[in-house]
Amino acid sequence: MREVYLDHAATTPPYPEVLKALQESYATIYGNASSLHATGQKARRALEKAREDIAKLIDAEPEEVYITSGGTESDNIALFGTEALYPGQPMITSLIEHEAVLESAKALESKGHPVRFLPVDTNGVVDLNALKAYLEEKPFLVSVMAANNEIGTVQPVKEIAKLAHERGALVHTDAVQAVGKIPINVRELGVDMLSASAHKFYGPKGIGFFYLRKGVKVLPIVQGGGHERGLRSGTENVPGAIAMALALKISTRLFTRTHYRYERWTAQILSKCGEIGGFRLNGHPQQRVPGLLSLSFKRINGEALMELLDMNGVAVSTASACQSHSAKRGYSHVIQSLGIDEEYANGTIRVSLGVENVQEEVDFFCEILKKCVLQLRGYRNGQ
Amino acid sequence: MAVIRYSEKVLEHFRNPKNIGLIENADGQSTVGSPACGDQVSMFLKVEEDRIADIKFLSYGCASNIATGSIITEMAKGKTLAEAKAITWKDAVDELGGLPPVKIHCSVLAIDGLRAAIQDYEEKTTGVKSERKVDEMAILDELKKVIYPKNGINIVDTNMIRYLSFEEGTIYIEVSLEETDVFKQNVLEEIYEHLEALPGVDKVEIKVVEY
Repeated sequence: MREVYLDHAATTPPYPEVLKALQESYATIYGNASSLHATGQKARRALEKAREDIAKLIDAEPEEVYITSGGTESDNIALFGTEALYPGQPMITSLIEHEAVLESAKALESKGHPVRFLPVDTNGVVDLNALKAYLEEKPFLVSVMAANNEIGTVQPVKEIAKLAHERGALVHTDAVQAVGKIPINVRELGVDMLSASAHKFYGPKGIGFFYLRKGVKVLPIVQGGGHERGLRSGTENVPGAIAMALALKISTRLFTRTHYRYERWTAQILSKCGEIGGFRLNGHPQQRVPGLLSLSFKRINGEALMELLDMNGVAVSTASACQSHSAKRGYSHVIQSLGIDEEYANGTIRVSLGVENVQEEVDFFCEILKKCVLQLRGYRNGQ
Repeated sequence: MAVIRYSEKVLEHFRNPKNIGLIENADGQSTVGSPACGDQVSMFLKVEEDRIADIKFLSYGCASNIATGSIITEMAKGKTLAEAKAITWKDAVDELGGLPPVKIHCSVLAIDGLRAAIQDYEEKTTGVKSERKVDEMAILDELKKVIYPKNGINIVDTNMIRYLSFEEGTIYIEVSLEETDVFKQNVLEEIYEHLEALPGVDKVEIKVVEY
């Protein structure tokens, strides 16, 4: 059976060039980058080259880029690495953060930091007035994601950073869904810290990076040999770093082409949804990550739709997992925060396009989507 | 194949469910679940000489909800009302070749729907509103609808209810669950969901005990 992968916000297949680079570097650059012999120094040079490449692509200095195991670790460093320096001070985040930030923030709460959660409007954009109000409480940190993983809304991080800095707070952004998908420039954004993960931009899993602006103090969250200038101990994953840098380079080069295609395909998918009827596109209509579509179908169980699409060979994800262990309501905290009609909220799927997708796959998806939605509506109304 | 967590039979009953539809002027019918949770089932019965002559259902649920609706309507068709009432969730799941534990809630709903439709028929024909006064027994019956995912048996028969009282609209129960039980939250939420819906219940208090 045909398999169409439309879940690139979950993870992406590595570029063939990335796989090749991984394989080659594992075979030839196997030294420990901390060893002083030639084999080690070869690995060190390759690692530093990767760091430089990444830094250049986000307009940072090489020494501001720290290699980590991915988004979750980077987010944890941002929150747990700073909290001890500001005992008892509040922090601000948003209601629609990824669990890596949300759960860390809750943990900070139990360490005595009051946590303020910014609400979002119906497009999923954080409320800047609420931010201004909470900034009066002298928080030590504001952490707001660059782009949301479920609805794709791009947040006004630049404005958030400006407001927060005026009040002396540090600014972190979880940019896992943004880096490699839209241009990200840390100077322009003005953030102090940023998290990214390679597998979201066609790099390997288990590797990411943490941007830390020069002069900002962060304590390590794991103790060890003092790798990564003391911030992140543990033998460096040199092949991973090489592959990540290459993946980011390729993704950045492809921006114009992919964005153009995603725009065309988005129009095609939305037009098919219009034909099906009873749907809404979640997230901001313009300020969004290209290719990430959160679609809500009226009077449909989103999980059933995801399952039926899967059986027809199309992989998407659901934001409305009706698993009673998640929440009292079936759908996710993000969809819930948007305040949209329950009849729609339950019928939400996330479709995320990728660079390897082709026109035929989008055509196939559109047909299958229509068939599946109508089939499930039939289960409900008997027609 | 992508969806590996379902048996072939579940997949088949999800893709091509039997008895989907609505019976006009049904002899008995029910709607259980809520769209807020994401799952809702409606059941319709045609009864002839105490037997289920026809049965149809509509579902706004996930794959396991739809598949369970499909299989139990097949199982109930032609049976006497007493036989149909005796069909358990376990019977349906066995017939389907198993279901993943997280999906239990969605499939129990279909059994609830069948029983509620039979009850509706019985109330209509006897004229007796069988709505029981809520007492400890009724609460226990309701708790039997909460399945413990680890063994697939309800929490009452799993002997997890250690204490139960119902006074002035408040249900107080003690449930035996280990702090580290991965299904703890799951079980507690389901208890609240079931008990809060009972008539005359204003408050549900649960104490988790480890014995």
